[in-house]
Amino acid sequence: MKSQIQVLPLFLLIAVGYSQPKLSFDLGLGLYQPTLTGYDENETFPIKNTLNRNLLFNWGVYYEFFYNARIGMSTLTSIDNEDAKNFKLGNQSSADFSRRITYRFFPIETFFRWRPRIEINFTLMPIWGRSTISLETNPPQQLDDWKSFLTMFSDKEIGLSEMNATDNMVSNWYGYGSMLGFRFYLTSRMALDLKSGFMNNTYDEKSWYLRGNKVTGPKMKIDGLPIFSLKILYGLR
Amino acid sequence: MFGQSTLEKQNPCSHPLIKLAKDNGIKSIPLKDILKYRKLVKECEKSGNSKAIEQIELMDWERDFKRSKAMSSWTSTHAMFVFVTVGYYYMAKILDIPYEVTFFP
Repeated sequence: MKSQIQVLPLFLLIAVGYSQPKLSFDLGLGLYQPTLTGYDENETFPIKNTLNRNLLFNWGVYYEFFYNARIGMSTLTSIDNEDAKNFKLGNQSSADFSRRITYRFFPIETFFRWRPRIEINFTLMPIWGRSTISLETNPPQQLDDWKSFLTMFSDKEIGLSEMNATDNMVSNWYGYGSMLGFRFYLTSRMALDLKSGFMNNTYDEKSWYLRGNKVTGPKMKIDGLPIFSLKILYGLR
Repeated sequence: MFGQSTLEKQNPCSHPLIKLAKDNGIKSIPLKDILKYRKLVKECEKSGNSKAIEQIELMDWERDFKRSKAMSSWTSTHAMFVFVTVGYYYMAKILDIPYEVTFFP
């Protein structure tokens, strides 16, 4: 037993040293269906459609660190924009509005090849989620514009004294997810990857920050969501 | 030196990049040399050695397949855990039962 324990670090060293390291980069799209109540309840925000609500733009980098395992980072982003012509605030002012929800996955992916060109993979990932809302307001009424904007989510008074013409409010949260995937190798370096799974996010609408002040943001239900992704990847080495 | 480069021009199949791909796989070729490798492959095929190129590609597929056709060490436990969590989530969705497990109610 003792000798087995002594051999283990040596085996790990050899295994890591001899395995062929592979670095890959991927681009793709994700699909999910969140319930963004805070945006839906108010007509000021852009009307929801597949592009600004369900579609996620995805890029990622993976490194194969063990025979059948990779670690990496994958970012999925939902984007929504509206220009000042169509985005009117409660104080009769207007502003350029932009909203981003970014899910940063840090996956540990294990896999095996079922056929020479077909791979089945299993992903477990912690998530660092971040949402940003930015407004491009007209000086000198940027403070009034932001106060008017924030009343859409809460009636509470916020202790803000000054704002820039372009400012943003940010919320961070953590989560986790799990996915099953199917990969088809087009060449030995290039492949198509289809994944399906779920993610749980611990988002709280009361944890937004604007210039260091805690503010209330939009209600969003982004826990227990099924998620799909399709991407094309290229092995760099 | 001159003799070697003349030989490579005459026979692109004997170029070190082709040899590297043959011995260690296509993925062992540095990214900066990929275009050069593709050019060499075409030249090698034109010179009537398409069998050698086919062999390199076949060996590469075989090498990757052999290396990852079975899961090793802890990876199977990880895979099983993922399979169970995703399976449980979708089953709970379909049957409309709570999927969040409360350990300490």
